[in-house]
Amino acid sequence: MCKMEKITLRNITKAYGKNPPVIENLNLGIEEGSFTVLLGPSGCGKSTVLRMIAGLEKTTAGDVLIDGISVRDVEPGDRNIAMVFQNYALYPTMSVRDNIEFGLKNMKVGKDERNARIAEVAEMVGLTEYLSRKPANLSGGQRQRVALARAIVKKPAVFLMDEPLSNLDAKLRTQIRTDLIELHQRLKTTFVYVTHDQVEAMSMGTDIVLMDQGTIQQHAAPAEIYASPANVFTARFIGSPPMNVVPAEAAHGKAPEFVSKVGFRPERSHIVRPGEKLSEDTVLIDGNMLAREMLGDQTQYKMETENGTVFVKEFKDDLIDYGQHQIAVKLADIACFDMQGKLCGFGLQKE
Amino acid sequence: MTSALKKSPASVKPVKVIRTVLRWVLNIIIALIFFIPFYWMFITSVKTLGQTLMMPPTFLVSEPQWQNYPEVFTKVDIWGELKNSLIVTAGTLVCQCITVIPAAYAFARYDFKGSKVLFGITLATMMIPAQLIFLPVYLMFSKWGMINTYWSLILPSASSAFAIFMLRQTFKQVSEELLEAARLDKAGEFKIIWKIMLPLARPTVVTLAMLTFISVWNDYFWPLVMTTKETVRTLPVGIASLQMTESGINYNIMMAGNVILVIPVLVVFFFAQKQIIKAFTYTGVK
Ligand SMILES: Nc1ncnc2c1ncn2[C@@H]1O[C@H](COP(=O)(O)OP(=O)(O)O)[C@@H](O)[C@H]1O
Ligand SMILES: [Mg+2]
Repeated sequence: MCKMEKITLRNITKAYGKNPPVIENLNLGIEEGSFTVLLGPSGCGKSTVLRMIAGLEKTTAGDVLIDGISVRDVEPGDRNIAMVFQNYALYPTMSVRDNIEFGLKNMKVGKDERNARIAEVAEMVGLTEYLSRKPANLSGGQRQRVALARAIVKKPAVFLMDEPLSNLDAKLRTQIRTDLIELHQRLKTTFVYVTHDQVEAMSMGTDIVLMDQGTIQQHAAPAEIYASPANVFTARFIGSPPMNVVPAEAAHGKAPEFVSKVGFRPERSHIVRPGEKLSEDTVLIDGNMLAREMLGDQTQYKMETENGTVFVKEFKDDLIDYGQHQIAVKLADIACFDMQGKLCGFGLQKE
Repeated sequence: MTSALKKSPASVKPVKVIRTVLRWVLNIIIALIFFIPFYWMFITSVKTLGQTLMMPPTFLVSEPQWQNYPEVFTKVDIWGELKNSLIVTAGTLVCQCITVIPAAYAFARYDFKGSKVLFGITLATMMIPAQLIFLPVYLMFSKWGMINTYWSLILPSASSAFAIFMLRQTFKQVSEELLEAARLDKAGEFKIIWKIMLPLARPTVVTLAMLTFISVWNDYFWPLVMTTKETVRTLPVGIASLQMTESGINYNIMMAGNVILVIPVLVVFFFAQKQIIKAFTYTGVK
């Protein structure tokens, strides 16, 4: 990688008060111009990382570098960043226009320049008609747009966003998701985006940083994180539904000694039809169908096997009835994980 | 077809009617309890001296004695005292803004060393009655030559523990995210207070200012203790001096003075009432 790192976290440790640290010795480089998504379950420390980058939270140990320079003594307002909060954090007593203008005024941007920028950004996010309204008189989606506009107008070098879509309904969420991708393409600045939703991460990110309990599990592009999950945690987090991971015994001794768990993606398996011819390199698993979800172009089956429940996802038109079935998985699609849960590779040997 | 959709009057429940009537009766009684003293003050102020002493008292006056009002002006220096009252009240309000707002903000938003103890001490001062400390304060002021100055009237209430407490509670309700957003917008503490906190706390601020205004405007005790000359004497002391006539108390003149005294309070209340109601019904600043 010869690209510049916009933000570097060096040996970061963070403890709140006298509690045990929530983040210990974390190292992370965020590339200039990337759309980096911090992904992980609730409470894993994503917001904490983001807030340390913003300067809203002090690091207990370690350094945050922006453009290679430590920002330890730089105030949040001087870090050339903008943040979009989960609850928007709009100033309730100010109009939309004043909300957008507040930061510019504090940055001592001249009046003509301010007006030009506000007009431009309002046009961009479609708020032109609402500039004189108070936030209380706006819908959730519009408030979200004000929060975005307030960030964009400052022309920051980095956008920080902490679950900005979680208060919106599903339809609006997918819409603004696309808008954000577009925005990133247009501005080409660095985005750091926090979410617990892997679909959001996969769809928007150019880089995904998957975290669990304050540690980074994997830092890779979406395609890579999907194709070769670094460990069981990653495999079980990415994908909808995520990878089926079962004990190695389920492979009936076909797995090598050092493999402790095996897994396969639901979309890389199918349910065997009557009279279907199966190739040599396929394993079969017996299962009882618990639930069936038809989603239009795809169907999800929840199957109970002797090694736990697994999901099967098919892109076929014919629905399969409830009852006892066999699940077919290609050997090459089976992921093997070692004792530490690390991925050792794909493909089982047929004996 | 619209007539079919209309509710027939017969569907109004009698229980509901009784309840509504009772509520109104109660409201009217409460309103009267508050209104009657004002009415009594006013009606007395336009009586003749003879009428004020009549038994049983009269509640109506056929020939209002408006000349009672000009008479007040001849007996005491109303204009001068009005000016003094305004200076003292405005001075107190300004001082309280300067002391209360930053203190409330600090107590609400910062967890500095000793903040809890300091806040406790601040609250404890509310329990000390003025009568307990007036003597030491008087001695102190007289030593500094401050008796008969505006400062002797302003400084004793230049801050208010009650106001600090109330404003702190309001400031505490503002979400942390909002302040963080402001910090990221490069706003300093002063700007945060001025542009974000105070506008949000407006109903509380107006109400507190109103309470301070009333208590300082009506205060009789401190001005009485701290002034010996007419130069800085405030309106309540002046009005009270109307009592001291050789020919017994002229109740009508005194009440006319009182009307003059309360008019500014009523005017201020009229303009502030919307905010005051908001302050007492508002439960959250989002
Ligand atoms: N202000 C705080 N004081 C104490 N503990 C906190 C504070 N903020 C967060 N934490 C703890 O730090 C951990 C990580 O929190 P956070 O970064 O908000 O997680 P996430 O954003 O991934 O859900 C959680 O266990 C949380 O309880
Ligand atoms: Mg969070």
